[in-house]
Amino acid sequence: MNTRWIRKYGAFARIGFAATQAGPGELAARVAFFFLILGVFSSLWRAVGHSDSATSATMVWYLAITEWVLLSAPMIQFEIEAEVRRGDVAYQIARPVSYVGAHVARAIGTLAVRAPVMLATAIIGGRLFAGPLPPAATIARAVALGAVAAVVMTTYHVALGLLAFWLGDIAPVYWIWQKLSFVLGGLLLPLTYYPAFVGRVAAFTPFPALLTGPASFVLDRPYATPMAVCGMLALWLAMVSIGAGLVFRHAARTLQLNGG
Amino acid sequence: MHRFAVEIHELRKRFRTRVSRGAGARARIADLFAPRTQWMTAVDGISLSIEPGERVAFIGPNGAGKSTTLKILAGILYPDSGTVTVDGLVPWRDRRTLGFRVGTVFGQRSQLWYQLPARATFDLLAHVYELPAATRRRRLDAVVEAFRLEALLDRPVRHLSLGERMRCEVAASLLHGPRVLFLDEPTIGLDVTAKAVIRDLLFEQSEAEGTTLLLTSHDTGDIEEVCDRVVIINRGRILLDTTIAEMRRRYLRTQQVTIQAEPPLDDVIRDLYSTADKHARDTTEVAT
Repeated sequence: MNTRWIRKYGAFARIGFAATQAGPGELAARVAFFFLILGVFSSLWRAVGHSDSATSATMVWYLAITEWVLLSAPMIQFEIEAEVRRGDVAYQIARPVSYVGAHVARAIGTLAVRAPVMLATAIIGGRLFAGPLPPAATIARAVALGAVAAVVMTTYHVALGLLAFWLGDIAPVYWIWQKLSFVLGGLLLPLTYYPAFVGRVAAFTPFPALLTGPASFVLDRPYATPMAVCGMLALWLAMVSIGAGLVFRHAARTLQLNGG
Repeated sequence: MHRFAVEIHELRKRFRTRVSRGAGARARIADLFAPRTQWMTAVDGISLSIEPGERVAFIGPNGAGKSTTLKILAGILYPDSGTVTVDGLVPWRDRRTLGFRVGTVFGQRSQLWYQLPARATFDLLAHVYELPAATRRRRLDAVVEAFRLEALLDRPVRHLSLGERMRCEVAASLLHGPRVLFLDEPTIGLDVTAKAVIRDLLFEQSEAEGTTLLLTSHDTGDIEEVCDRVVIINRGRILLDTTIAEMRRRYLRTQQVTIQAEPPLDDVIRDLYSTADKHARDTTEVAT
C-alpha cells in the first residue's frame, strides 16, 4: 500500500464525505427514524419486563447500538445498481482504479459523516428513553467494534450491489439479506434470546459479528469477548473482500452495455 | 509512440438477449421458468487502423455496433474474438494501464457528481490518474481556460445547463491528457450553439495536443467539423472507410434543403398575393 494508493482511494472517500454533507435531508430523516425506533421499543421493553441478563434499559441501549451500526452503513448497493442500469458504470470501469475499492472507499466517506451523527442520536436517544449511560468502558468497546462492523457491513453492501451486473434489480436480494440480518444478527433481540438452533445457524453467517457482537457488550452476558468479535469481523471482512473481487472479475467479463 | 493509435483486426462481439414467447399468460410463465435467448451480433469482423492524431468519425444507424466497438476499445467490454491494440496495449487485458492513456466521453452518461461542483470531480480524477500536484494545477488551468469553465467550476453540477455540463464532461475526460479520446455521441441533446462550442473545443484540443479522436455521432456537423476521416458501419461491418473530403466529393453531390415555416409557406404566399393584388387595385383607383 503506497501513498499514491492512499491518495487515490482517499479522494473517493472525500467525495463520498462531501456528497453526504451536500444532502443533509437524508441524514435528518435517518435521525428522526432512529428516535422513533428507540421511542417505540423503549415503551415495548418497559411493557414486557426484563430477563435475568438484561433490563428494559439495557435492551434499549442494545437496540441503540445495533440500529446505530445498521443506520450508519450506506446503502451503496442501490447506487451501484443505478450505475449499472444507467450505464454510468462504463465510465468507472475504464479508469485506472479498482471498481470495488473505489465504491468501498466512497461508502466509507459517507459512513464517516453518518456514523458520528447516528452515534450522537443513539446516545441522546438512549439517555432519553433508557436513562443513564452504561459504563464508559462498555460503551467504548461497543462503539469501537460497532464502527468496524459498520465498515464490514458496508463492504457487504458493495458485494450485494455487484449482483446488479446479473440481476439488474437487487431489491429482492437485499430484502432477504436485511431480514436475515434482523433475525440472525439479533437486531431487536440479542441472539442469546433465540432458540439455540438459530444461534447455531447464525454462527455460520456474518450477521452476529455485525450486530449482536458489538451491541451485546452493554448486556450482562455478551455474545463473545471483544477479541473474538474482532476476529469474526476480520474473518468476514476477508471473505467478503475476496468474494467481491471474484464476483466483479466475472461481472466485468460478462458485462453487457447495449444502446449508446 | 506506436505507429497506430488504434489497431483492430477481425473484431467480433455478440450479445445474448432474451426473446419473449408472446403476450399470453402461458407464454409469460414459460418465459419466467425457461427463458429463450438468442445471439445478436453487434460487431462482425471489423478491421481498422487509426494513426496518432487522427480524428475519425464512426457512424452508422442505431444498433450498427459503433458504441460496442468503442467500449471494447476503452477496455469496458470483452470481445468474442479478434485482436485490438490501443496505444500498443490490449484494452481488456491492460485495462488499468490503458486507463492512464485514454479518455472516454459518453454523451448519454455522466461522470460528474451531480450534487457537487465540477471542481470536486476534477479533483477526484486528478487523484485517480495520479497526477502530481504541479501537473494537476497546470492541467486544470489548461482545461478550464480551453473550455471556458471559470464561472462553472464551483457551481453544483445539478445547476448547470446540459451544454455547460457537457463542456465539463469533456474537460474531465481530458484532464489527464489522454493520447486517445473515445467519444460516444458527445453532442446528443445539445442545442446548435452548444454543439458548435463542443466541436470547436474538441478540434482545438486535438490540434493543440495531438490527441487521437474516435467519435460516434448521428450528427453530420460533428463529423464534418471535427473529423478528417469517416468510417461507416452497419450490422457490425464496415461499409466505407474514407476521408471526409473524399466522401463529400464522391457521395454528397447534391444537397436537399427542407424548410418548414410557421405559418405554412402556402399561407404566407397567399397573403403576399392578396397584399400585392390589393396594392395594385389601390394604385389603379388612385390613377383613375
